[in-house]
Amino acid sequence: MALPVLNYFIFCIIFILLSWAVYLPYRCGQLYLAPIYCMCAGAYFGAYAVTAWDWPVALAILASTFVGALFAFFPAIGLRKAPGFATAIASMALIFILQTVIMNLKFVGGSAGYFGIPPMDYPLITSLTVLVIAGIIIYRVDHSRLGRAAELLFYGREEVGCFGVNIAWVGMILQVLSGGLSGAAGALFAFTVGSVFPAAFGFSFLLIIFPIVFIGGNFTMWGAVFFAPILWGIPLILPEAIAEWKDVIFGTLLICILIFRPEGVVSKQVVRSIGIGIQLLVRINKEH
Amino acid sequence: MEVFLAQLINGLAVGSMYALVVTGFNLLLLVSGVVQYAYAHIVVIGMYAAWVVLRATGDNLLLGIPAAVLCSTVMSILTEPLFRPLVKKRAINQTFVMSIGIAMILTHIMAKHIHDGMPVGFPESLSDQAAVVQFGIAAVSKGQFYTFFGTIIAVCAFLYLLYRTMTGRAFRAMAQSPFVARLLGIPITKMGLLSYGIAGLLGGVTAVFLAVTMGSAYPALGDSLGIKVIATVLFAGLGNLKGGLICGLILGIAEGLTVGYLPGQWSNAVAFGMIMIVVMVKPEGIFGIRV
Repeated sequence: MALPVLNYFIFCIIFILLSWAVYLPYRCGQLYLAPIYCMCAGAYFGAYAVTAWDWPVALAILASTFVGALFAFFPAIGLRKAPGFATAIASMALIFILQTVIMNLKFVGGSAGYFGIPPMDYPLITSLTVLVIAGIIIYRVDHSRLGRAAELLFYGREEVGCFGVNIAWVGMILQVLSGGLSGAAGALFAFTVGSVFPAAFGFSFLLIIFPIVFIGGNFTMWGAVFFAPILWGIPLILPEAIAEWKDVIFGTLLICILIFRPEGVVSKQVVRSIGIGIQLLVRINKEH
Repeated sequence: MEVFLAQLINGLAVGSMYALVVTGFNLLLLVSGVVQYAYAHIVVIGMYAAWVVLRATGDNLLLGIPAAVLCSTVMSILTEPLFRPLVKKRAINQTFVMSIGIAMILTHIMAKHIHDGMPVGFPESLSDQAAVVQFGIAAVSKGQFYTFFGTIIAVCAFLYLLYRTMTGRAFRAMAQSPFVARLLGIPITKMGLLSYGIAGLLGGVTAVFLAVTMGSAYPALGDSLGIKVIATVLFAGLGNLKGGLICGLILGIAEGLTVGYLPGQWSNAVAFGMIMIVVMVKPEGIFGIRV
């Protein structure tokens, strides 16, 4: 497979993982932007483990997942009960704090970054494996008591508290899971790009993830799966003159979708309709 | 001591601008229920408008300054219809996401279509750095002097409007309960639009002060200012006007002192670290939520 195509697929997988990392806490009404911070932690850890300690790539990805979860755990102690908007800013603050700390750490290259990270042996298979495992976990969470409690939390925190749901516990679990996903995405990013530097993990990532989550659909995990390849791919295939308007196109789409279809393109109804459609097709095929 | 004094003066000038932007931001949050992240971008667009007019008119300040104020006011009012459907549903999280969409568009305009994305510099007639008062190495520049006292005047005028006029009373009623305000006969839509206009006006004034103090503007300024403003609002407590003023100054001074005493780029980390601690320990902010 040609390198640009391979990179396109791997970046799609990274964006799907990051979008799921935003989607999970958003299920309970928390606009959690720390996935970039956890991704940064995971990327640096994975890169350092492979280059300095000679860890195998698979082990480094697994460890990065735990590091991402660990980095999400400590702020989650304070942020688990915070309302949506407060979570957004506090978690955004984490990005800047970690960026600044890394810029001042000489052993990981400071502002210049960390180079010479070896690539993965089977990048697409490894990335797809991570994606499938993450997808299964999210699907299970979505259809568990935790997922249902999170969904209720989105509509009213006080009311859900009255039903005996532990708001803090739900918020913390979802944030830690989100951190784990982001850590894995960070490791994949580091092994794909071959270098990591603090400026890479900034606001620009959010400007891609937000449209994926909110245009794709913020009430199901499938929105990111369908729209990450579209929104990441369109600017790559468009002529340069149009592609440089990417931010305006994404911004306009984001505004329009929030006005006319706040649940996103792939809503729960759409997923249900697609499911029924697939079942019908299978039945028709069997009959013929 | 002189270093401390110099950084304190810098911090006060920067903090007074944060306070002004935070006031406009809080007004929108209180009256319209909108988390307008793009408010800072509207301020920066005002700076760019001033630069364009100054360049076109041969540094005519009488045209450049009103251009900044007018541009910010118009831009702020233009965003109102976009937020209206979300405000009706009281979807505060979504207003934040939408404002990020607006910010993306405004940043693109500044980064690609004005001065090829290069930073724009303001003429010396506007950003005069000559010292008014000198304390050893520490000096209060004309820009800092105008900014600090200009902010005090702007904030006093705003507080007068809010607490001594019928419009202000209507704003406060809407902030307490839009439903009851409607029952009392307050024209909600008109007042909402007016709040965008006043926030834009404050933004325009801030744009002028930013141009005076900084002497330049660049496309990423909107994002860095926007994040700090929202962080300050959280630090103080959502929608708390007085808290926002005080915390804006505190953040500016803390940032100034960090630049003076800590190596590297620790100023952002200190500012955001302070905010993180406050959000984790006291999620309603230091002065409490007033939405």
